[in-house]
Amino acid sequence: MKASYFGPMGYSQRHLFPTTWPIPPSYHDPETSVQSYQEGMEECEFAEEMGFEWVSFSEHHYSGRIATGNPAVMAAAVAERCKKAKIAILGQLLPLNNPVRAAEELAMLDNITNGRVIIGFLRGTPNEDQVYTMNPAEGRGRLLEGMDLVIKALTEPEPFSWEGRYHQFRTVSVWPRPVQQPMPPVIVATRSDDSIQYAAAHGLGLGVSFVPVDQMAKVVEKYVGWCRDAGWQPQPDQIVYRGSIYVAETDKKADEWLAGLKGPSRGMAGPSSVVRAVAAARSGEEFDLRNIIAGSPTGDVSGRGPQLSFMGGPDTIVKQIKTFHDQCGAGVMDLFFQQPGVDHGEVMKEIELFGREVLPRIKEF
Amino acid sequence: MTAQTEFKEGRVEARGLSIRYLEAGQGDTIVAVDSLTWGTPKLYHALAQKYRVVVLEAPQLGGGSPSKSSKALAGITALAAASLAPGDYSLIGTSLSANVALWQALQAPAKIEALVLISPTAILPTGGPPEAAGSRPVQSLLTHPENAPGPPQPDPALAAAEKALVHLLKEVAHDAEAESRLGEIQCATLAVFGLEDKMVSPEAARVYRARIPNCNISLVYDAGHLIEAERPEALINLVSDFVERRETFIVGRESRVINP
Repeated sequence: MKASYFGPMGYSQRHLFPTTWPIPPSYHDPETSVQSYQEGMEECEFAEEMGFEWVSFSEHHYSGRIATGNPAVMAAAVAERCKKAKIAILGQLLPLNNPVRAAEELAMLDNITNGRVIIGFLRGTPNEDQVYTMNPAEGRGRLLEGMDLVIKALTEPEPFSWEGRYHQFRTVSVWPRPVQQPMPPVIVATRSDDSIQYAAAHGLGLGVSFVPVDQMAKVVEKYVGWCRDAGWQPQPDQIVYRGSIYVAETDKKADEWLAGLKGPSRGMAGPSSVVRAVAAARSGEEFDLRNIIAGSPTGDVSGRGPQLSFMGGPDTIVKQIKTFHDQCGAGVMDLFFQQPGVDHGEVMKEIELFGREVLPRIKEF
Repeated sequence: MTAQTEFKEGRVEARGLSIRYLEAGQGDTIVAVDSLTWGTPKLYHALAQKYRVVVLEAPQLGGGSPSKSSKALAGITALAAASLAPGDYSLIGTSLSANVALWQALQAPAKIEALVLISPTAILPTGGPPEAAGSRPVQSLLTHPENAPGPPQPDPALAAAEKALVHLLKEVAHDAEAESRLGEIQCATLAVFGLEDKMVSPEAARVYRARIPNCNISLVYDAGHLIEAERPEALINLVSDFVERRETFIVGRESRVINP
């Protein structure tokens, strides 16, 4: 098994943020922000030094908690510091973006890194349907078409035009071509049947984020079955789990940290009326403003507590990770260390502890 | 929704064959070669709003004539086209008829201003479709079997025509001579493929683009071999734009202004 360091590049003063989404830009202090990115890049560099084989970035918007609106920009900067690790974009939110632009960024990155890029496709969290004013009902269709277009743009050697449902490009001719031929490894980050089937049918990997092990096992069971139907078997690197982690010297110290946490941990939602409107649109329900607003409390409905996938001392963490390996076939653990109330210094200590006490053991899986 | 134009039917003689054709519209002429298996495609109805459209029923496919090669048939369709369209024209061919149109452009290029090849199978055919996902053989030509053209329960004549079409697609072989001569085609050319077309290898499209001097290739998302059945609006938009603007169709001209 491999470990991947997820680089959210969180704003160091994020504990002062309101609990809703988006975070107003008025909370931004340039000096703090510059320092935060520097610290985030140090964490990636140190993770590579400690044996993490991937560093990963993810597209999220309008929040300093995961401050990588354009993950390719972040990846390019980190790739100059991390010279060996795979650079995984897990992933780009294809429904929001121009897929040709996404393909160009990925191809450039694969050249800049001399073939170390891993591609991830992702629909995005519901709040992000509001970014760039996309109709949530179109997200699934845009993701499926976007994946086809990115793959074609990366692999087709002659210029072509594209007549899609959501995109029309009369000239596509991506330059440079990827170093990895025919294209870099691709992970589809999803739990939805149609996207899982897409991954299986196209020989692509699967990424699952933050769910308990039993839920991931069900997703992987479907994926592996559909891969078998398509005539192939996924390799360990093609089953990726992203989870939140807090590792301490002992289980007791981890429990003490958790007990000391106050308030909500995330702000990925926003006003509940908007959350309900997005959910209605995604599920194809009729949008009726009176029903959406009626009885809708104002304010935030974001999750409470850190929602950790892994927490404890090294022995416990090893056992927890092994469960995902044994029950889900996960071959890559993409780990989110920047938890609430954990500053840069503590993250560096966790990376060191994980690299020393956990990583050598999970590599044996 | 494309308005339905009334096509009048006629027959034209060429090399001893009586070829059925349909005609509608006014303006610059478009000649199409088509099996017309499922009636008159929406594409021709749309084009007839602006152009004079003459659709030649491919003698091999629709008329039950003995099987002849695309090259031989092209000589016949070129004569028929010259009889019905004395001036210059744009030429459209679909599927097996696109192979005929391709040869027509090679043999009688003088009057052809633009060439549109929709799902051509002359280059790198795969030997036919995979097993049909539904009860009708034609469903093997589609990404979504429910998009099958014509009535859900085709009459015996249509069922036989569909079966014959699929059989012919299995018979088609790589046309090395046509491939070697693609560089001779000087008119603006558009080769259109459904992204999920299993009748040709994925490398086929790029052969046209690389060999024909003024060729664009277009990929229609979420469509198999029968693009007309699965993404008719996309096909109409694309072909109409190309016929009107030829190779300059790549230049955007639709306004993106919101609330001026």
